[in-house]
Amino acid sequence: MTADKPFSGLIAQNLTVHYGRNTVLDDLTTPCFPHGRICALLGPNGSGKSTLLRAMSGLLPVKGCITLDGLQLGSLRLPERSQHCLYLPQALPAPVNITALEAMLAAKRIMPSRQGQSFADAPHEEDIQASLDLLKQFNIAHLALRKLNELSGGQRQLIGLAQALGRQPHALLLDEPLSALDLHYQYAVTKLLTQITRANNLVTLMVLHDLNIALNLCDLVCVLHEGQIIASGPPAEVLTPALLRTVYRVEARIETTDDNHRFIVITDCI
Amino acid sequence: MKTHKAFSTAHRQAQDTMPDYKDTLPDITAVQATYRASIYKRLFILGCLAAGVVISLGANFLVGPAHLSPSLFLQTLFNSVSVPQQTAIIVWQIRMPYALMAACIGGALGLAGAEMQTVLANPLASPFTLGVSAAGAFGASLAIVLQWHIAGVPDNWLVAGCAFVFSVSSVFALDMLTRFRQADTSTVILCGVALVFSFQALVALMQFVASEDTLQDLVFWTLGSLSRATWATLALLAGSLALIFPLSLRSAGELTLLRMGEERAASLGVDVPRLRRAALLRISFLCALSVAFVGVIGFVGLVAPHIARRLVGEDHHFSLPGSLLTGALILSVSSLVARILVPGIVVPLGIITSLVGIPFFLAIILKQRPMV
Repeated sequence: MTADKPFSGLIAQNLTVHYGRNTVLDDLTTPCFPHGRICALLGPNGSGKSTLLRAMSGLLPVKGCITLDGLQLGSLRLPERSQHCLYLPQALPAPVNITALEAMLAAKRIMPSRQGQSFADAPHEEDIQASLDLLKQFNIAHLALRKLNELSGGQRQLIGLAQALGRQPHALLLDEPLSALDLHYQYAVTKLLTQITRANNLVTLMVLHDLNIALNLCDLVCVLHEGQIIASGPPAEVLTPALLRTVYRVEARIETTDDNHRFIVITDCI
Repeated sequence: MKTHKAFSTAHRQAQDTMPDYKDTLPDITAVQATYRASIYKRLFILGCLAAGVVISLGANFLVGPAHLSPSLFLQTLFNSVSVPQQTAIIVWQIRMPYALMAACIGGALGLAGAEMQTVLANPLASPFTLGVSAAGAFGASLAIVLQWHIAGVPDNWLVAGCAFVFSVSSVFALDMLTRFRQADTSTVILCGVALVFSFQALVALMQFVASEDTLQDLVFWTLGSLSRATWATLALLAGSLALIFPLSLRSAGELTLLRMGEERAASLGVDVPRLRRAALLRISFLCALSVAFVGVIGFVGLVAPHIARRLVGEDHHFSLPGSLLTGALILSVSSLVARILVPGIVVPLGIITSLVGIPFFLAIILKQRPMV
């Protein structure tokens, strides 16, 4: 944001991650993910997308340097780190006997800034208000008092997303946030995330499989292939037939509709 | 007709301009009121459980071969010099330690089971699944059969100490193993099951080589009995419970998030390995003390958390006290049943807990909606 800072945004440099003896990411340097833009992380299965997000959020032991606005995230403990940069796992919230509202409140109350506050003297009213406002934005406020074990996978995914946003981090790393959602919510949630990203000047990076959503609704895309970033930039420039052939092993054309929407037509797989 | 048509158009327009029904439905104050009501309801349930524990304690104090009226009991409690010495001994030396020990052990096992099921993410986890009690029983059987003596230490304390050391070390062996191999929770359970069978085999071996009269002592450990409860062991257990329970409650928020998935909890900033280690330490301490003082009492640690979750939900600020109270209630009622089932004989408690607990347990889990 300010000129004197080395980077404004989230960046990982010289990142190496091992699972046992298996090196998943080797000396990977990402482009700088800027504030206020929604960025899609693309790549085929097993290309290291989840590993990259989990490494950047501090859930994996890594070699390398991860910086958010010049702040070394590696030097922070996990609870503080999650205040700055929050990862949303791919797994849905478990179907347990907790209401959606309680789930959101529980996520808020363990923030380090709340330490020392007991359950009894937490600011219930404000927390409830803020949580309900968020649920309302996702159009699921009517589920606030329903238990998670009564809800569908998609509804739980929305609540998990609201839970993460309720923590108000500076950077959001979302691992397939649309995987269990219907067509309407896939678009609605992406648009809402864009809106929240712009309004709060967040760094938002999300793993996507739907290239058409990436093409039309994301500001930037970043393509991971065999543990290396092979392309990044505006979606229209990055997603080309040549790239789709290399990365996804499909023959494809990119078409543009009359009202300037783009879509990918897959003609064959290699 | 015309007016009617106009009305219907106006009506449609009103509907169109109205925001989405789902959007307006939850009124903030209404939701807050419902939420607060749900908290009061859960506090009320906890209160009922506590009242149940108090009532069953009272029944435990009064029921027995020697008939005591409530007024005589209260007189003994507050002015024991004014009653016959025999009555004072029955109340102070037998009934009170027995009844209070039952409630404390039940509470300790219930709390330990609740934390264990959460940190191991397995509904079958209980202090007994991980071999904590089997290890304790083995430790005790070693001390009994090999007739260890340490000068200045009473034998029953030595046996209890031995059981404690083995229980705690079994948990730490398990923790070391899983940390070294970075095992997931199902591996922890499987290693625990392996421990259970190993220690059971070792206890059986000790029984095989034991003499007639030491065998009698050994049965105490494997069936569980409150008959050796004393004020000293009771004070130690109650004190530990009073120290450990607030620590558990302090982690309640983190444990609640852990219920929603390990990775989710970690991503929200819960230090899961540290939380798990601290919980295992608390669990091992409570279980080891229970095993050391009353032997192997199964089932309470497994069932109490399930019942509590059904009653007060899974926010651990409520389910932890709920499990503690449910455990205390189950064991307190069981101890009462153990004494009145066969007049003149105290049936081993481990047998009763299963017989009393299983119908209750089945009723609760079968009432549960099938999972989608």
